[in-house]
Amino acid sequence: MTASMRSILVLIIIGSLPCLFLTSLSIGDADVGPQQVLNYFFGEKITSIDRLVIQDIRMPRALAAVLTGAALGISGAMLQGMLRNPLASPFLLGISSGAGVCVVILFAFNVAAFWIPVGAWLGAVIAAALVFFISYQRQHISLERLILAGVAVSSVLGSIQAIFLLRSDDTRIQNSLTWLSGTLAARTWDDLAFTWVPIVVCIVASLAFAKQLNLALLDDDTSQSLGLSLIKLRLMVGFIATILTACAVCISGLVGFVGLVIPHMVRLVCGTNFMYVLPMSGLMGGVVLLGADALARTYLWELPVGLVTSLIGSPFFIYLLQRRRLRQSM
Amino acid sequence: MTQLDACNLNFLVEGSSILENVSLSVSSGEWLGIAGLNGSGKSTLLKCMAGLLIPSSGQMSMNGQPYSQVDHIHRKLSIMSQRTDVLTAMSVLDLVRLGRYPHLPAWSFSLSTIDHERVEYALDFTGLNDFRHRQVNTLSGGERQRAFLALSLAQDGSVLLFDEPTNHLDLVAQIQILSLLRRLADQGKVVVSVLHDLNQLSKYCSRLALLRDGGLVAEGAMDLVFTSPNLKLTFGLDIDVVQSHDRLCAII
Repeated sequence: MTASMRSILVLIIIGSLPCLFLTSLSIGDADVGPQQVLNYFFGEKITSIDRLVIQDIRMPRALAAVLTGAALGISGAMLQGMLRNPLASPFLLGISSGAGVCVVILFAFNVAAFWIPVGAWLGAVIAAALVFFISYQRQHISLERLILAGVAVSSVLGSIQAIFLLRSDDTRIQNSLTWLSGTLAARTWDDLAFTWVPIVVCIVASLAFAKQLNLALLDDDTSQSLGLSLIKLRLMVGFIATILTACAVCISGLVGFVGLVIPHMVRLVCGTNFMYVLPMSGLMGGVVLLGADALARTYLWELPVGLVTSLIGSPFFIYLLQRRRLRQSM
Repeated sequence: MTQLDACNLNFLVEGSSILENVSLSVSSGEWLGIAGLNGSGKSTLLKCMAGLLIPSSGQMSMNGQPYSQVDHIHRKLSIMSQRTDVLTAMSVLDLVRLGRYPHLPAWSFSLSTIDHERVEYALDFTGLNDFRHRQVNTLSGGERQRAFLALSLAQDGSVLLFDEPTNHLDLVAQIQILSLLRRLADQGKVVVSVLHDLNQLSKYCSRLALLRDGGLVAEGAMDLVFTSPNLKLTFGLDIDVVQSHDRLCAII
């Protein structure tokens, strides 16, 4: 891909965020379209009901999509770099199963809805901390141990989650499954109040690790001789990625595939330098989730957005694999 | 002028000794070759010299200063390991630019004019000008070794360490790499490398350290150390050493 083509693609991605955001505000069950949205932004006359629909129903949902997509995109890019594994995703370190098991237990005990995202956040953070604790040995965290500990912890927590699901009644199972599939339906400003600050702080902090993540693309000896501290990088990237993912899970449940596929899409456009990969993964994550959510509620009977991202993401991932195989055979 | 000293290095892993009382020194313009059987502690010694492993006792020093007290040590020491792979589709130019990272201020992300000049010099020195936009993963073994050598050169350290730099390379690529390292030593760099081929050691290196079971069999100038008795002690084989033209040759 030529440099000018890359620049054009980057501009298209940047430009599509506000376009999709406005589109997201313009669609829904209520009869509030693009004209009312433009009137709202340009301070022209608008009915109080239209204002309520735009400001308190659609806008928190659209912002939730942007924040969740950005958090998962950046978290996935950081983890793929830190773990030196292109198949790494934010849910590899037991984060999804930690959040999932907490949510299913809370639904099973009929706990108030307010506690569901809080429980998800805590479950995600505790599971990730457990994975890092198991992996830490003699002032060193090996990548193999980290990945295997993630698989083992996920497996145990997944089993506990299944036990609680099996013992729940149908309504609770449906509530749990909707949440586990990842949904942005009925998000309010309250859902963002607890999470937007840590997401923004972690996105800014992630940029400070771009240089280290570039070095982590090399083998351990070479990267360390260039001044990289592997233990610091693994702990800090693990911490930031965990907070980002936990906040995303807290907002929207388990939205699959965004954290895995977005960094690959971005690398196709921007190359391998994390100085560009990290911000573009955040941007692209927001764009994709906004688009998927708009698609979900316009044409797909209000499907959970996580199912839409998986339905679109899986074929795209297969396309990427095919493309790589074709390139290698040339 | 740079001098690297290893003083009584010991390295223990779970009670077993990997290095035992290893002392040696190497200065600017010299190329120290390290040889020995598999498991004799060559790579461990090289990693201690690179500051990647902290010895259980003893210390490494540069110009008389322990490594822990040397300012910006990552600008002065570089190591090329046996693994020359990168995770993603990185271009040769991007790879070589990573060599300038130790020179960048903490919050700076862009290379200065000096950094770019150094990168160009490294690409030129290793003959990779025409390969700068190729992906590292698509290079042949020899080209990839040269790309990683360019990364070490861009780092602009006075000490260059190489762990089996000719591993898996064909004869021509081996000679290309070794000739480049010889030029670097002649330019005043301290070069240290682990090598298995005895004749390459005798041809290119000026000093030799022979290791067996973590201990030093002999260390010093090539013509003093490269002898049949020392090689017998190191490898347990009868190896004749003969003078051919202006250098020593090993006949097994």
